[in-house]
Amino acid sequence: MKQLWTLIKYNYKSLYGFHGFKYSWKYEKEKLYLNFFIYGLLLLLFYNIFKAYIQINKFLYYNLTLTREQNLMIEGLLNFTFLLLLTFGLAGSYISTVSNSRENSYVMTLPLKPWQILLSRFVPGYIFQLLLSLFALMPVLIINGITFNEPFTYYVFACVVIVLIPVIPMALQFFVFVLIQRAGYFFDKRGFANITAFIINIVFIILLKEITGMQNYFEANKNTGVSIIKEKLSLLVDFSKIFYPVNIAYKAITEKVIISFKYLLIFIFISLIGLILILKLLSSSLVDVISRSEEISNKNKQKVYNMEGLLFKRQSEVMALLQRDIKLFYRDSTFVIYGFAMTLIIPFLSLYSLYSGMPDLLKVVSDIEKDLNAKYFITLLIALGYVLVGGFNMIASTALSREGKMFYYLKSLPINPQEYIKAKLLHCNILSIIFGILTCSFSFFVTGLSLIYLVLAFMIGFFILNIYFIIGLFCEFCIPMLNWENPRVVVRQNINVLISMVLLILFVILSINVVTRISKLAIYMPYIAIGLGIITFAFYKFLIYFGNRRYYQIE
Amino acid sequence: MLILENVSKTYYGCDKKAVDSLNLEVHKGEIFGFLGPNGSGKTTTVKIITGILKPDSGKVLINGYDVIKEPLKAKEKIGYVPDNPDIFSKLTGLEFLRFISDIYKIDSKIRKSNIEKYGKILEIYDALNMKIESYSHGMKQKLLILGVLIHEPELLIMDEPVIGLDTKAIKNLKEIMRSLAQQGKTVFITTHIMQIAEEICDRIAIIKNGRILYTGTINELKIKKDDKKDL
Repeated sequence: MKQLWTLIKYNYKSLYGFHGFKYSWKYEKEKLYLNFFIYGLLLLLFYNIFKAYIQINKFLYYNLTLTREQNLMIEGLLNFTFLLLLTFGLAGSYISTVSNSRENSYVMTLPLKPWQILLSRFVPGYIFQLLLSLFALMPVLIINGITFNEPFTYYVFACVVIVLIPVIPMALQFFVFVLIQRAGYFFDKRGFANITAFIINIVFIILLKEITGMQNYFEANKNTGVSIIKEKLSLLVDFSKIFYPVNIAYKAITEKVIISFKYLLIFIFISLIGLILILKLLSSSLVDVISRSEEISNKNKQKVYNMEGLLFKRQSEVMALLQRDIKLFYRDSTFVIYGFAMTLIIPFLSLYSLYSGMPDLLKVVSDIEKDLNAKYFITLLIALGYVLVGGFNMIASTALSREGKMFYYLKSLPINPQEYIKAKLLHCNILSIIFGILTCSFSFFVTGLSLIYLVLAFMIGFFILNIYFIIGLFCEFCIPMLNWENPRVVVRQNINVLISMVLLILFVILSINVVTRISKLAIYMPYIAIGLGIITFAFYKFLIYFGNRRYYQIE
Repeated sequence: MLILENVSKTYYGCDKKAVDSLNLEVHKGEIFGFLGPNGSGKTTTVKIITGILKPDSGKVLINGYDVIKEPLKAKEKIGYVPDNPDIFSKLTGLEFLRFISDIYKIDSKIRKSNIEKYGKILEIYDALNMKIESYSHGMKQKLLILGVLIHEPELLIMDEPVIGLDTKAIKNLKEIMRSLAQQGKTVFITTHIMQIAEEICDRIAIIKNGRILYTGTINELKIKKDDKKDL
């Protein structure tokens, strides 16, 4: 048991970085303050989403109590949580089963039983899922408890349900992940990361859209909103026919004490059976999976690439650096959650938004009276659309950190920092320009604007994006995270991406607000384009000047 | 070829100097061994020479160029083999060599002939079309050495180059180093194995706790060894 506890503690510390906090508290206070600042900023950025979620829950709950249908809300939310854990929670199971395979192989050599290894991998993922279930269920269960003056046992039972609800989804995910890995050579680590990231991104976008969309809808239509949401909740409730344990959990919370207790025992029993089943059935498979994943990665590594003729051709320093950057970026599973995969999600978001929230937007835009002012106004919106789409390949926000310790080797080579920066900027621009052209082409068919306006939109978008990329690179030059053997630092790098993503969205929302409120601004658009061009150039020059000095100072 | 003048370095947050007032001169055409136990400051010195670390004081001159003031000119003259070969793991061996050749602006014909020549001597040529992550430690080491040999630098700096290499590869590497020295190139290697230094180095320096204890030939060291018990 002591061995198991040690292993769990090790996995937990290396993933969530609390050990790092403790170390920083003792030895490097500046780093600790920086961490607090980063996490504080992140919480601040997500504050509105939390607030909106609680507001919606509160509003719906009180409206449903008027018709004594508040239990529909609890049942719907339990199902929602179950779905959330099955989809968004994939990250937890991914961390537990697929990631850190190198460490897994080492752990295999230690005198540990297979079930101990499996359980120690299960716990870090479970903590992630537990946080999700807390976020999803707590508000309504507390509101319900206070409103109906529920007894103490209600809170105890609710807590048990919150704590145990992630077990079944995780058990299902473990079965799927481990069995797919065991069944054959379908996916390597990168394949898993791609699929997991894709599902999580889509769920994240749907959640974001639904939560903010509902909040806006309620503000506008306080009365009719409830009936629409009731329909959605009923849809969710239908899921309990498929997810039977949710039905049991619902009864454990809502029935009278003795009956509740009976259902709670059944729920605990089902959860424990789920856990014991995966420990019994998958423990030996995990040993197989670890060696299999080693084989898969070796098989992929052994691939032979025959490009000799091309590779002997000479190319410029910038092109050499650019090609290296692109290859390293797209061949590494750590970076698939942004970059190309993330950029592809954005058109999905746009389409989803069009269908779910603003079906008439295209019609409004295409029917708008095209006087000069309106044309400029639409052009500016297209430019901001390009910024949003193009900006989501957030390569700049990890540009230097991604190099890891390779950066020190690069420093020993006769590389001009200026060329290095150019290569990084080019890499950022490749995808964004493609998506810029696509955005403008799409807008051409929707709005019917002439080419000159689209070129103007493209230029504005291009300049804004480059300012964004330059700021990203500047931040990376200031605080690169080059020593990242520890997986938690990779997680922190992804937090950088998340922060820059949220900042970009805020910038676009703010800009749209400014443009729509100050309509006169649109007329000055050619001047805005010129101004942005000058600012981009000035920023670029500053980055080159700063980078030239800073490149040699990074140790 | 290589001059270190009063070079000192203390790592951020440490009280102890990693390298303390180092003075060294390596001549053109010699194989110079830099010896010392683990943690003595060998790698720190190499990193200062290659411009990876900035010294707190003192200066490093490579062929007359100051590494801090004229980094590009100085680095064009050197080829560096790091102690840890785990780099660029997602590239194939050939892609890595192309990158290095482009950075050093090597002509297409020269790069091709050098890759063939040295690749075959080091017995890595057949594996160049595979990703570096599939290589063993020794193969990665050989690839980095090959990366340095493509551009035949004036000063070859190798940090613990024989670790992970098999006996035949060590023998081949020694021959390559000797032949480069005969062509007038300078070789600077760090090692903690005395036997290696004895076999190939014209001169050596011994470093301990960041300070140089001895500079000279192995034979001189043998004569002096009774006087210098520290060594």
